[in-house]
Amino acid sequence: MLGKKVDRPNPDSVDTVIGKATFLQGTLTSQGSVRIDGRLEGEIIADGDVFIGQEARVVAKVRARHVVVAGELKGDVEATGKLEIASTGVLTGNVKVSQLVVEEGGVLEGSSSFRRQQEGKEGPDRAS
Amino acid sequence: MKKVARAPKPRHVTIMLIPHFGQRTYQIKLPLCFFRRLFAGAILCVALLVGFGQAYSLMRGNMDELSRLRRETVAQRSQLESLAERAAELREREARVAALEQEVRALIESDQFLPAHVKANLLRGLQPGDRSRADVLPIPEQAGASEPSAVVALGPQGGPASPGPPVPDPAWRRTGPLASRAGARAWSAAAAGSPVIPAEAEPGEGEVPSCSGEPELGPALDSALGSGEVAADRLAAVRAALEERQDALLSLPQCMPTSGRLTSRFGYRRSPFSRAREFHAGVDLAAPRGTPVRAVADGVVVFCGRKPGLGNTVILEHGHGISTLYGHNSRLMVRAGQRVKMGQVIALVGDTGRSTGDHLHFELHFAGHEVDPWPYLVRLGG
Repeated sequence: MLGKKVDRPNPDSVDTVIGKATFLQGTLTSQGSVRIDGRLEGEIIADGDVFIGQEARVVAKVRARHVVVAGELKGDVEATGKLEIASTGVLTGNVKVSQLVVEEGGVLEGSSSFRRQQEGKEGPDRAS
Repeated sequence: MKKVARAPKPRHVTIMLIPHFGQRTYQIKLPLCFFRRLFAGAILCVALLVGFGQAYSLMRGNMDELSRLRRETVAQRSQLESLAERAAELREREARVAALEQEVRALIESDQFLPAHVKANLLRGLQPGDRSRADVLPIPEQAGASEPSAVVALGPQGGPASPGPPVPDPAWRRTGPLASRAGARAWSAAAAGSPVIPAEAEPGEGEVPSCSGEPELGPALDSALGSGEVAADRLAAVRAALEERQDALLSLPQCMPTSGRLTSRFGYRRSPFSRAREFHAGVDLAAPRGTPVRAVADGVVVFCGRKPGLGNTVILEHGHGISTLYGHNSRLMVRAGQRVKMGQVIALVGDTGRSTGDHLHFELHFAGHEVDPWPYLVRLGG
């Protein structure tokens, strides 16, 4: 089952991890999902999801399906699906999403706008 | 889940757990040999599982066998019970046979008419396998041998030698037939399974279950039952012989042919006419003309008419080769072929034929041979 997923890019599976000890500069483009635990500066474009780990520090423009932010992200986010900001997450930038979830303690600094094509149920627009 | 092989240490493998949410990732670095061991362990587990599976299926088979054995045990138990029943039946039958043997023994022992050697033969285990009916019933066959000993065999111990055997005969007449009848009744009752079984049979019932553990109980029982059957058959044969013998005894004279004085015995004598030595085949009983002549036992008239020398004569056949002749009668009261009862008047005393006065000439024949009738008449108290 490990070998099978090589055949076709599956947006659900994480096939790229930027580890804690890694710094990447530039544009990261993936047909699958991406997890970032280290540092990244530039742009992330993924067909799948983007996970920003707790200790990650990312300065980038993110465009993906779903985005989860548990670390620090500076940059605009454009998600066709849902944007989640975990309790440890800090997002600084403008977001354009279908759904928005900010957990208790999560920070969203910036403006948010919603795409209405999917049945977007808006969460509270928080700006602190 | 992601497997990442690190270049610097190719002998190791990192396993990383990547949560699809904010939580931190987990990494485990494992040496490659761990997977070999894991693989080996997995194989071992699979082998163990297979082994357990086989053991389980074996156990299932054993369980099936166990339940089958249980059923078998139940069946065998019921079989054993039926065998125990058969054992009980066997004991019952044995007891019955024993009781019958006792009865027959008593019959034989009390029988005054059996010669001693026949009695001994019969009593010796009551095994009449090699014994012919002649031993038990000596009357017709031995009488046919035309020897006087035939009479001895039949007659009382006294026989012709001692003309007055008073004790045994009346005793037999009183107790013999009655006892034999009672014995026969007890026999048939016992054979029919009615509760004539003696008390000794009862304790056997308690011992029956103890023998239910024997594996060859069935065949043993069968053979025992068979032998019991044989013994019963044997005894039944003895009984039949005894009955027939008693029947034969009843064919002997049961009463005096007429009331009269004995004037001439059986055997050689001087002829009253020629004074020459002649054989007298019967006894002469003198009685007045017209005295009734009676049949000495139940029988059939086989001859009724005039005979040269004997005058008006009646011959009766009583069965068992026994016949009686009555001669010199003045009148005949029966017809040939007629059935007569013991004591029935068949003629009147007269003086017909070669006779020197009114008297009855009485002959007793065993299988066509004349024997001395006097021992049979004297015991009747005539």
